[in-house]
Amino acid sequence: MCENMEITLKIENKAGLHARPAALFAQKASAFKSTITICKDGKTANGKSIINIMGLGTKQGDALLLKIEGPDANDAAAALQKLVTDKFGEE
Amino acid sequence: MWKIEGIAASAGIAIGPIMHMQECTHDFSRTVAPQEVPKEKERFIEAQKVAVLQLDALQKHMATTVGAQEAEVFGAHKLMVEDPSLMESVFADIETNYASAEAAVEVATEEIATMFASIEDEYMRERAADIKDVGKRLLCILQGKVEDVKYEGILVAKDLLPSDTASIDFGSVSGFITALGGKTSHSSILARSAGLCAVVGVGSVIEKLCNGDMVIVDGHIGQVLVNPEESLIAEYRQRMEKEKAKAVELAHSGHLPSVTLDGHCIEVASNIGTPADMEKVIAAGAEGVGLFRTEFLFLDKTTVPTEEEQFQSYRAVLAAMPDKKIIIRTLDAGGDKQLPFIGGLQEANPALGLRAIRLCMVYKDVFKTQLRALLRAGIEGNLHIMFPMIATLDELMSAKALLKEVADELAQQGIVHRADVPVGIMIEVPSAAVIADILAEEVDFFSIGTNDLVQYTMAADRMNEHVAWLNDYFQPPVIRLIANVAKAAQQHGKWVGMCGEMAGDSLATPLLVGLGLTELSMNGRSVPAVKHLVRQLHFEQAREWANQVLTLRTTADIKKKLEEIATTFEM
Repeated sequence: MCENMEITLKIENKAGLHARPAALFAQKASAFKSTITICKDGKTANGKSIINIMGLGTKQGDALLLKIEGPDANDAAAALQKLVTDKFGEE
Repeated sequence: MWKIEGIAASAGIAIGPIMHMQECTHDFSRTVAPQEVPKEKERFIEAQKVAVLQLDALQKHMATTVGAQEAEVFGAHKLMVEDPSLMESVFADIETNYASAEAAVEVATEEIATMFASIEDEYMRERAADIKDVGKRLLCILQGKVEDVKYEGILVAKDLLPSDTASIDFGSVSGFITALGGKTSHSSILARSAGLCAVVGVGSVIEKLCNGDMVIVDGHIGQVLVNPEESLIAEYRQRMEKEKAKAVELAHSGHLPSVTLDGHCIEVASNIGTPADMEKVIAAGAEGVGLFRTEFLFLDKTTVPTEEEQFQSYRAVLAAMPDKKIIIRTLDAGGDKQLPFIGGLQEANPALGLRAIRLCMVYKDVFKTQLRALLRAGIEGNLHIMFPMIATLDELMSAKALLKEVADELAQQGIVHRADVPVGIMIEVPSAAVIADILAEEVDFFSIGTNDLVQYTMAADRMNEHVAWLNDYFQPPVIRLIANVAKAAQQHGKWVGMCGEMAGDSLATPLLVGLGLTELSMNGRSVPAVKHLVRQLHFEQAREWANQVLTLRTTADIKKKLEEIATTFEM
């Protein structure tokens, strides 16, 4: 079974996707089998790559489109959404 | 025998054979035969595994020796080593261009570093250094360079980077020579805190040194003697033994009081960076803390530390020396110390930009949290609060008003605190030194921060080795500013101290005491030597010397005079 998901996330934490949040995102994403692609301003990034994510230069207030494809897409979307709404454990 | 001249970065003498630091070369074959492609991919995967093991070990080592926060950077390096996009680029390069694993790693990490460097965000741009560090590590592994080489004798390197110093065991190293760097670069600071003698900034001449060459490193004058005669080695060895014996004797004298022969008290205190430093500085004989840099609580954090977290740190320091003066400096961030949670500021000249008190007055909520934690901790001991980078009276007045506001709020909320904590400022901007008489009316004390005062007065970046000669606290304009500050404070009945590098230089001690400074705060290692010198001084004589120094016209004249004065003491 293969699921396809698209969700939009707004980055609310002060630091944006700096090293630590980017690392947490990539680690969390890597725990899933699905492919996870982040789109922002016409750029795409592999959601499991800390380097790709950092390369997006995401700041507080930026919106990201997540495309998730694979057997556990729903779970992945929920987990990543939670990470972002929890502001990566900041504050 | 031949000589190398450089910058005297850390005093002392070391004699021994040199050993070059192992650096990976860029001298490798860039392509392989098509049938080697699977083997190259396999080599990359093996290198990844080794790198992760090394980084794991480094992270654990840093976490126990320095702190979990500082160790986190190696965790991020680990993720970069295993990053799928790095692997993708490397594999693609090997498969389509028949690149060697080395070439593919070099190209891929350089590309990523360039991409990071182009992001419009200061903090992210600096991450380019991280990916370069990762690339270097993988290259070294691919070239079969052993990570944990046992270095002995005199270490010779182009420069020592933070990741080098975290992984090198300096146990058997007695000194080092570097091609780059100045007195305040990372390697020099490391040398001084580890008590190793060092000559830095010698240039490309290090390439002429061969492993095993016998050298004498004279960290007092910044000179290296290569392959000297036996008689010279014997002579230096004797000097070295004498210095070592002296150092042991000195360390034992650390707890003797620092009073001049004519009964003038000088407080010899220590600078600290974290509460964990207290044990060391108490052992060294420090009589208080002249500067507690609170940045460690803030840097490398994505969030503002909580009031409670800060309160615990401040209280720990105060409780360690309950009867001594503890000067805590409020957040001195910005400039070369960027705060991740504030986000990168685009500044052409960060050292002249929104930093220290200027930044705090913009991010008032962050500042108020710190002031609350300080006033609450104030009941534990003899706290003094110090504001950094004050340039005008207005800045001082607004900072004081904010402190008052915080005290009133605490009182309203019925929270235990101390409202009448003495308040001082750091004198590090020349403008403050010039209007010291105006500022003196509004403070309880001044503390002169020479590192920034010199850089701003001389308009010479302290990290820039090309203008290192200007960056000298014995420059006549710097001495005059110090004299001006001391005079203004005395006229208003306030005390003046110093917490910059100069405070720990015993060559400067007679001058500083003579100018009327009553507190000197330094690195713990310098405490016994400065106290030892104070005990040999006559205050009246020191005053006379200070007046003579103020008439001198060049740095060279000032140093010559101070060296003459120094010969009359047992150093």
